[in-house]
Amino acid sequence: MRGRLYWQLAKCGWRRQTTYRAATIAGMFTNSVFALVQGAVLVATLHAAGRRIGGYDTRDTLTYVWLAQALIGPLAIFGGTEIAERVQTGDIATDFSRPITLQGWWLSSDVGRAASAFVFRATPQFVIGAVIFTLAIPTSPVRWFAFALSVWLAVAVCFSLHFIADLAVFWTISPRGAISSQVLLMLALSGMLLPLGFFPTPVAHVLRALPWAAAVQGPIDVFLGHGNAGFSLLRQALWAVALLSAARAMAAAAHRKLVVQGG
Amino acid sequence: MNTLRLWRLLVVARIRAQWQYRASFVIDTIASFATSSLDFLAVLAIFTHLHTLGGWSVHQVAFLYGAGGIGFAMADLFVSNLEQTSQLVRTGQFDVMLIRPAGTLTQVIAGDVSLRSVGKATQASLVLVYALSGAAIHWTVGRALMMLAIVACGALIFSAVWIAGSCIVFLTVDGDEATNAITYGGNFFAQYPLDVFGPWLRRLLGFVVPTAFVAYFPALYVLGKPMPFGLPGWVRFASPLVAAVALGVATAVWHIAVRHYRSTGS
Amino acid sequence: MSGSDDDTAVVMARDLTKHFTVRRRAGRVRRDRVTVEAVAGVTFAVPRGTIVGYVGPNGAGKSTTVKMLTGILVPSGGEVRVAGLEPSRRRIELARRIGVVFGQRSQLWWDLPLADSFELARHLYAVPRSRHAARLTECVDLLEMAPFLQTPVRQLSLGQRMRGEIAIALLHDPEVLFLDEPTIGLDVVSKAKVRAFLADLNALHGTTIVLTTHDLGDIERLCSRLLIIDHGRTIFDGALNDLRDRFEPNRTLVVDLAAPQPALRIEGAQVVRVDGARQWLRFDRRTTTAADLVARVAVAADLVDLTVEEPDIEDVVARIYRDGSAAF
Ligand SMILES: Nc1ncnc2c1ncn2[C@@H]1O[C@H](COP(=O)(O)OP(=O)(O)OP(=O)(O)O)[C@@H](O)[C@H]1O
Ligand SMILES: [Mg+2]
Repeated sequence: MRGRLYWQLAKCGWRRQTTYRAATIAGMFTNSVFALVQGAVLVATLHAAGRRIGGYDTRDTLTYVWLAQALIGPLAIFGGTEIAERVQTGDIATDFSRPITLQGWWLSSDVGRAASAFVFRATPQFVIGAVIFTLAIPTSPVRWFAFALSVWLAVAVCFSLHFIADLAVFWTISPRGAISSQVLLMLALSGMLLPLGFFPTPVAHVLRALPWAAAVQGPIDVFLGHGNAGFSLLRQALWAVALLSAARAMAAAAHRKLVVQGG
Repeated sequence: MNTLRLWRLLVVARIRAQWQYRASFVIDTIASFATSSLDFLAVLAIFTHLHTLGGWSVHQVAFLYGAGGIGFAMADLFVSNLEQTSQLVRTGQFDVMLIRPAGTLTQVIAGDVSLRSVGKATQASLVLVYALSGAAIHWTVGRALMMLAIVACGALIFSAVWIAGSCIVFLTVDGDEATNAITYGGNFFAQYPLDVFGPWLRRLLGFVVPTAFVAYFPALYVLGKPMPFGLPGWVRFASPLVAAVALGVATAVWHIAVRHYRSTGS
Repeated sequence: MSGSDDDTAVVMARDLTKHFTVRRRAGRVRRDRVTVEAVAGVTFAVPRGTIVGYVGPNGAGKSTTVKMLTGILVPSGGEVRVAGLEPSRRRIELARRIGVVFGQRSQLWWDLPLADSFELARHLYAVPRSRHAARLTECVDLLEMAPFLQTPVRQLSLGQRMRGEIAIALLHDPEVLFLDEPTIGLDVVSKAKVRAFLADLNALHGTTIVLTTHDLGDIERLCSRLLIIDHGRTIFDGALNDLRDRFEPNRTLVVDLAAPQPALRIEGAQVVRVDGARQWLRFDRRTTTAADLVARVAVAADLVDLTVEEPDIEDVVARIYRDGSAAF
């Protein structure tokens, strides 16, 4: 029974995403521009350094850059203000009155949205990169499977991070602050701005242990076959569980606050 | 009523409305400062592997980052409400701008000011101080004046880019994400020396979207670097002209785009 | 419409058209371009100082027309003149001379008190301080806005906000006022207040008013002239009474007799209903006058009281909408 509802919500999320065709094309354009610029900078860096950096050669680096930009859509790196808006307008009260948890509701539709974005946005986006440059593409089906799993875990991690920042609107006096900080932390710490391997080794170690790395660096490591894929997946899974639980607790606290104080 | 007075009037009204949330302003500003600082760490991280990037030292790249960043933050402060254009067009609220006796561009820009950009501007200034401290610049009056020109021209060029980029929403409402390619993308591009980019990217993001004139060309003069790509020396001083032309072109494009506004059915 | 009308006309449209190209889903991925003719050749002229009602069913093209008249939309074809100006080309000049109220959009600054919005409008329209003050006092009095002048707009009720919207559109003393569904969502009392205010405005200041509405009460109370539009074409342009005559020439004479009687047999009329001592007689006002009919009834029966019922304008308009232009 519940399963059907989640499934319907996911389908709804999928469908909503597919209606914004112009937005998808515009987004791919922007992601491509960023990938071109970032790719040029990092390749110049490799050349100037005259060696691999953090295990990356030119091909891995370009693959990294295009894959990271491709994942922006499915992971909604910049997105997620919808819940915050609903908190501010008070519409969130109706969300709480549904026969399904707030988190379940939004996560299901986000999974649908992410799936659609993966097919219609990320895939063509990556293909553009693969046409312009020679990228490292896995040949082993196991690697592809691990990558798919890794992307889903990343979706759960990203969703939770956004969800927590959005719900923070309940407590913070600055609705914009929490959300924009979360987006910028995501950009800086996830490996979006710079592959974590490019940071000095001790810094890179710390960054890899943080949740943001589970969002972007994780799936890309699996795709490129860097490090132990099993370990990487495990770390992502732990973060996904931890963050989903945190988000759940936060939703419950928000609900209490709403009931007690009327928002 | 002239544009500037109208702008001031509307902006003062906005600031008065924002004053109700001043604690939020403080937090947003700090957040903006802190997170843009993380952004610069990526540049520093790159330089842990090398001494020069495209022939530019870390201080010289920091110069591009800081000088361009101040210009970008100022544009962000004054004109980033243009990002609301898509929302105005989508909801039809843009109708209201068209029935008032004032320019639509002025009204959209004056619709809000992003005061928290002060945080980003502060961070960029600190990066610039770091750059100047290590770049061993041979100061002259001309170079000092050029520093002022960089900031002003950067703000104007990025504003023009923002205006022109926002026009896309009059053609397709959902196209607003493409604007980011030349605004934020332009800023990203301007942080690095033109030398690291291939010829096509250089032409498109350096000259067509004229971000090379934000910091790169003036920096060649201030830092006393030779002209690359066989370009004539006066290009280093062309930024004010480029800024003026860019603004002219951007406003013209805006006025053409507004004629394609279709409002909404309800 | 004769050419001389246009000379005094403050609002004029000739063969005005507007079409929108929209994409419709046709199957899973395919999308077709469809052209919607929102306004398909509308011609009219509004003389200075009149109140014109612009009505039509949903999607008829009313709002689209108003948007072209006010310079919001560029027409696809035809000609528009408002106060002698071409709206989309001389938008700013025109904006100083017209007032616009959209029931669905707000011109007020939503997080500022109402009074601040009025003050901003003064600067925006460059109205001299004394004239602005006089005008504002008048509006505040007539629309009874004093109690909520200092309230932020976002906290106002719909009716309060709408009064604010009307006031802000009038502070620069426009020659023409366009209103698109100004009474939407208002209660009976607020509606009456707004209507009275508009009637006074027209009488006192001679402001020309063009008003779209779905509430025919607005039309009956205010408009001397009615334009009906459907599918982007005008299907009626004339006085309200002409409309009744043209589409419903029948009137009903209701008589109260001294005692219940079987249906009367009167020449030129037909009894359509009998209820105790009361009878309803329908007659065609083009062939029979009410006076003649009353005389005849008085001969046939003992008459206590009588009234003449006009056909309900709602019914007439509903019939026109239903039958569309086929009614002509
Ligand atoms: N911006 C637009 N884009 C596409 N189609 C539009 C647009 N505006 C109006 N239309 C279409 O044009 C037609 C006329 O719309 P308009 O809003 O003028 O109707 P209206 O007479 O004001 O209706 P209502 O009484 O419902 O307000 C409708 O079919 C509508 O769908
Ligand atoms: Mg309408």
